[in-house]
Amino acid sequence: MRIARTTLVLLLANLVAFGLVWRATSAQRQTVTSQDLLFPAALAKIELTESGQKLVLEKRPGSWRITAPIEWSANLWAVQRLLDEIRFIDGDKGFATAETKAAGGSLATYGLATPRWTLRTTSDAGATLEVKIGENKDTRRLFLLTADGSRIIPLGDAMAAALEAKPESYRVDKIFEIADFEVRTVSARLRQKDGDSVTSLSYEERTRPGRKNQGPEWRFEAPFDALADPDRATKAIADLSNLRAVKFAEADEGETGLATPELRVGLEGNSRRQVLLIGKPKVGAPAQRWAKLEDNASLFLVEAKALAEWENPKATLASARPADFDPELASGLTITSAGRFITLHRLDASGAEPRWEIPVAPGSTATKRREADGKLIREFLTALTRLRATLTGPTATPALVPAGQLPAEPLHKVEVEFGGDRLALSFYAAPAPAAPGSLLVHQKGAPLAAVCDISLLRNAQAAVDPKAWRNRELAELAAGAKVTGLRLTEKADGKVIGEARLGPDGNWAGTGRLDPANSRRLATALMQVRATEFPTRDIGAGDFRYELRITDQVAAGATGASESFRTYLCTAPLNRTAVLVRDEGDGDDFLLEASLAEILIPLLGTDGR
Amino acid sequence: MNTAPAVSAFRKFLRGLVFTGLGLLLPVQLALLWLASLDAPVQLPSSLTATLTDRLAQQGLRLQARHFWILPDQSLAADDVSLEIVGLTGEVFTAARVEVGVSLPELLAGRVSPTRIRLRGGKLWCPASVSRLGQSRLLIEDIRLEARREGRWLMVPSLLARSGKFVAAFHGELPSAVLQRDTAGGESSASASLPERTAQLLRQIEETLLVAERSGGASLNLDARGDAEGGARLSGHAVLGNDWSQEGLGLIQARELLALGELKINARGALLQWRARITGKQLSFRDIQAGQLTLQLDGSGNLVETQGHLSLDAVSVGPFSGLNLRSKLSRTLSPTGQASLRARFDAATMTSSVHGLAIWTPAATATELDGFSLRIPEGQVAAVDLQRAVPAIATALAPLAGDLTGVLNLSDIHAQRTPAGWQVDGEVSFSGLDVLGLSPRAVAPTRNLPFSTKFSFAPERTPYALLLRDTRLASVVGEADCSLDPGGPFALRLRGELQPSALDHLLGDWWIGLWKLFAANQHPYATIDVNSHWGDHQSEVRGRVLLQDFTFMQAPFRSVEILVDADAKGTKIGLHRLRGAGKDDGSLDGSVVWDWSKKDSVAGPFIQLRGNLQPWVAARCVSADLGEAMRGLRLPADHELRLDIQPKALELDVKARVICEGAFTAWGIESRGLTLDVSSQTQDLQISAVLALANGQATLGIRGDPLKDSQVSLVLKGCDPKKVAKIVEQFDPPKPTAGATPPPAAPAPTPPSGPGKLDLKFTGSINLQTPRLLKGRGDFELLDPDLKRVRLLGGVSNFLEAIGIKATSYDLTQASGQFGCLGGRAYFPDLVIKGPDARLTLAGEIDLQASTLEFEGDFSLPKKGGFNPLEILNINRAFLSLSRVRIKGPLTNPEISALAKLSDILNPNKESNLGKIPPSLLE
Repeated sequence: MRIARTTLVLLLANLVAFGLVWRATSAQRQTVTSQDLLFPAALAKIELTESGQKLVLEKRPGSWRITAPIEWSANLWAVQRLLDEIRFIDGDKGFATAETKAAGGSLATYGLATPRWTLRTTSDAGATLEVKIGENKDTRRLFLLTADGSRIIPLGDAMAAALEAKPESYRVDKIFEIADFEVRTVSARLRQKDGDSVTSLSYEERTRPGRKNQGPEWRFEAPFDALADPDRATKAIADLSNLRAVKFAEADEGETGLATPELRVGLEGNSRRQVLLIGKPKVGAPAQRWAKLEDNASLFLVEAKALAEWENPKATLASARPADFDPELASGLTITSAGRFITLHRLDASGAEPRWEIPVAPGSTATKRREADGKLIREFLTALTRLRATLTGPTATPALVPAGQLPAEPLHKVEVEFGGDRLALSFYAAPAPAAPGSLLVHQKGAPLAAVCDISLLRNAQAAVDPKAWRNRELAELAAGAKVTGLRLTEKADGKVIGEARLGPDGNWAGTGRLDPANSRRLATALMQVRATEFPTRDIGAGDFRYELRITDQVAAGATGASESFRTYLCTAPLNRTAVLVRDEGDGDDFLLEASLAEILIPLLGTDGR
Repeated sequence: MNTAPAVSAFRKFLRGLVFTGLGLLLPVQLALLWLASLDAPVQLPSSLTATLTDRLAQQGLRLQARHFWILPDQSLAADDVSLEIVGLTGEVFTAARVEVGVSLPELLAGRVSPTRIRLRGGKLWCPASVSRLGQSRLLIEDIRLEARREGRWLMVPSLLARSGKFVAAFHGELPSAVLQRDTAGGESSASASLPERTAQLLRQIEETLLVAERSGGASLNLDARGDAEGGARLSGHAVLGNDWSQEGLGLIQARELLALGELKINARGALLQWRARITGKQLSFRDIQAGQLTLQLDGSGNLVETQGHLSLDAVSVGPFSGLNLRSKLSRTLSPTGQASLRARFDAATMTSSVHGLAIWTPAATATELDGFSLRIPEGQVAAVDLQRAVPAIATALAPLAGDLTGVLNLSDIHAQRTPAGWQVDGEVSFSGLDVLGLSPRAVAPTRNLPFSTKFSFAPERTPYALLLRDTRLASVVGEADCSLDPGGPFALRLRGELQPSALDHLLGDWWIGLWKLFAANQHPYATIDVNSHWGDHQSEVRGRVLLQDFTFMQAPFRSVEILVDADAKGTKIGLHRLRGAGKDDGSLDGSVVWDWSKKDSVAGPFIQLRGNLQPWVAARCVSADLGEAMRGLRLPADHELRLDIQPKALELDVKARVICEGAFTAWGIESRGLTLDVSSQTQDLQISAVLALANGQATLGIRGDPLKDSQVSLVLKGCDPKKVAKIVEQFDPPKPTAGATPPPAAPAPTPPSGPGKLDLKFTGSINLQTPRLLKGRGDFELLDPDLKRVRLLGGVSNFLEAIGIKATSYDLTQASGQFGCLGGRAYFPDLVIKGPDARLTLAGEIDLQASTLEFEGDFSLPKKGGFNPLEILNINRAFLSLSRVRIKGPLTNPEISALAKLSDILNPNKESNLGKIPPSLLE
């Protein structure tokens, strides 16, 4: 194909034009810097000098710090106010210095001949910029002279207010820089006549009996090895790390007593440590005490009550829980009271509701092996873990008693087993004056015992009668089984007062008090028989007056249905919801659960009135 | 000749197309070359700007500017720009200058892609139709932006915005995909029109700025740094002013409110991680104040996984103060996709602490309620804190005479908000609960067992919104169903050992009255159902009480089963097996009824008791002394004791009957056939007893309080005097006096002789507390072959022995006479002891209190019809006819003198008052 000359010329022309466009475009450099704002948006340091006194603010990760004339954390609100004003200084505003001079003015007109302030900023990138700020004596207006001296920019009142702020106003009143969540160790050394009392707490992870996958928790390292109260310790440490100075002031060492501080409180964070020294109370204001940080010369006053907990932390911050374990891990339980004891063992390790038994342990109160009530045991174990020292006194400190001051013999003892581990709790009479329902509870080996409100234990710490722990579920028909016959007789003369039978058609046929409707309700309820309580004393129910014989039929299999029988003896009802019953094949009397009792009692007809 | 080769039509077309294309491209390139070569701004021709504004107008934007420029850096610039949205009256955005850079190569490629933007003097306006103020208002007064795109980065040297006291600043680099993401994000609201979207955005900005405007100011600072993966890490902080007010919430105040944040985005601009920490001091909102706030949140791009911590210290709500709250927050998504906020919290005051989990699930639709649930596995709340937090508790307890002290322990509390209100269940225990007199100390004063219960509260459940299960009040366990409405119903089912007074407030007067009758040494075991209404003292009570080792009206009992059936109409108390203290003391069954339809004075009790209780036990109900005196009366098991008591006026009308048809012993004396009737009406006790006593028949009648002055009549007929004497000795045996000699040793038993016979009638008055001060008159006739041994005559009998009656042939077998008793003395004016051959006439007195006697009399031998020489020889007869008999001294051992005194001989008919019945008895 032959290319026409015209086409070729056009093509060449286009190529040349494209090349020129490309070259022109490539040569073009976009303006990088902003022309209208005087200061960089991101500042890392601000130095403001007034009459030789320098205020230096430096940006730190997440905060600002005042480094001159004092060394302290900066008040972010004050710093931000200054920053916001600096940022909006518009380089295009104002007027040229030359123009002023041309108009007969001078820098002195604007106070810039001897500027009141020198403002030097350093950007994140390290670029510095220094400007002068002067004040017109007559109008009290402020003017900024750019770094190259070419322009004079008037400043607003807000900027004037920010500049005139005293260095003190840039200082934050918070004392510690270590945030509460960062603290890992706290120590308190109290100076006393007979030597310093040292208390140390650390946030550490340690395995304990009855605990699995225990995370880090606050523990005393000194004066004893014991758990700290998680709530109180956390709060006390948070309060300490957020401690604020009431006032910064100057005083001589003799007045402050900080040469030999009465209390030293140290906080240790991830990679830093700060120690607060507490000196004497302020003369004339005993509620305030002189204080300083160990590595900082600034003196300040703190509220004495804010440090009260750190003067005797072992009394105020020791764990108020005498039993802290995971109830789900318990594998055994022994309760001893009044010289008698009972042992309970968990039968299986798995399941949401593990099964427990009351074995016939030598010397125990159990004379017959029984299945224990897992729910009751779980509730008891859970309630044990929730025991807490009651709070006493005007400062509501936990009522803790040193282990050395315990009475000789406990009233009750509870031993909880966790496989091979064991945790022993002893219950003593609470020292007077004690609130009603309080006992002194001590875990073996712990340095302190706690006066606890034991109401949630429901006196189970003294329950050594097997009946107290027996499984309340006495009979439950398996799936597919059903009640097929009922007979109610008066025990004295054997007179049948009701009899009913389930027919093949699924309908009940009954006589006497056991009419079909009553029979159906009763038979359904009797599929599961639960006790409300196994009384351990005569409750005035009188003799057994009725006999209820139940025919159960298990599911029909290949060999046909088989029948079994249950016989319950009943007293006259105690009221509309209570009747004492005995399973003839068992021997323990029990109060029938209210829902079943409410069905049965009307059929018994009389409650002896 | 060469002919030109044939050119196909297609080739011609192709050639023409290339020629045309090159021809058109060349001027465009020349124009671009001009553009690229500019070294000064060039104003765009008006036709071009008109085209531009027309095209924008087609998209709903009305753009106006004083000038449009093309700058040497290939940017389009506009001065004094204003932008309006078609559909919204008034300008939305204005700027002193806007510059937008475009890439010529991309423009050449047909794509308009801004490479740079610079904004100066920007202002954002809220049109009047959008503003909540109803007038056009300036939202942001100064916006300055400098941004450019460099490759995949969007460089923002500065973005500043100022609105009043609110300042926002941003600088740094971001992935340029952020812009596309915004565009993509806009697609979700594509259904809304541009004015709608704009109005919504402006409204949100206005809301935000209103907060800042009403506050002491706010400053938001963000900076972004790109990372190697093409993403960016943004960090910033915001300081907020001291207070602000928010419409609908009111004034909110805070000091030193600071927010620090960090977030990380990926190269596509998607959020990867973020973290925020907000702190503040001295917060105040309505009546809620907090000394310090710390809120820390972190999450990922999936906002559902937001987690955080909230702590509020020194919180006070109204009068309640000193609360510290720490909470771990997390945001979760249910399987159905519903997001919820979970807060695991620890709330504590100086004296209380509560741990739990709160879950807030915002409603999916406006018509639904936000879901809120609360779980508190454990907590301890001091009563003082509870009353400070809920002052209404004290008000509510006042009518119930209730009080709260000590600590409330919470366990496994679960609360959930439902359309009907809050449903709450769990377990609580309280050591210091006292409601309606029910308190641990009241129920079991000696046992240190507080109140605990599981509960369920559902406001929509009627009538019992509150159910208490497994309730333990000291030694009592049970259940309760309660309405919480004033005057609403409640039902209690209680069982256990109970201090009866604990239910005084709850059950009212009949209960108090009932237990005044009992003094229990052991706490009764009660199984009781109570149905009542709050504030109503008329309860429906049904139950059974086993009472052991108690005294009932001073009478000791071993046990009783008390069946209680009480309601507003009446109270029925069944007494089953009311057993006397001893095994052989018998028992009673019966009932006690109060009929509340009658006036209080006659309402009750109506008591009916039947059984075989020994009379002495019943007698102790009247008087301990009487009971002890009656111990000698032992009735066999087949006897019947009936007791009927009913109110009459202000007293009780008591009727009791003891029937014993068979043999029994009375003070060791075999007796039979007792019928004893006791009747007591208003201060008028009547006792009548008929029994076979001492081989005879006794009829006793007493009228009046036997422990005060009561009228008594006693008739003995044919009784064995020895046995009667034995009975009398058992009643109030004489107290030894100082001067009295000890009783002589019992005489050696003598062979039994034939039984004597005593007939006696006595009418008078007696106080059984001082029986020896009895008053009245009577007569008796005694036939006894062994009279001298009859202790009934005491020293008289001794005298007979002393004078040798037995040794002689004079038989004295009969005694008779009248007697009167007064002031502790018995007067015998005409005691005649006689036999067939002798007669002794005596007059005298017995001091019943000092147990002394003084008798004087004459002994005479009646003359016989025939002559008997032996009588001549009988010196005694002659001597005795002259003698004067005197008996004086202790009743058991009197001095006896039978010698006649000279005065007696000289004046045989001397008047003597000895033994004369006082005239007051004769009237």
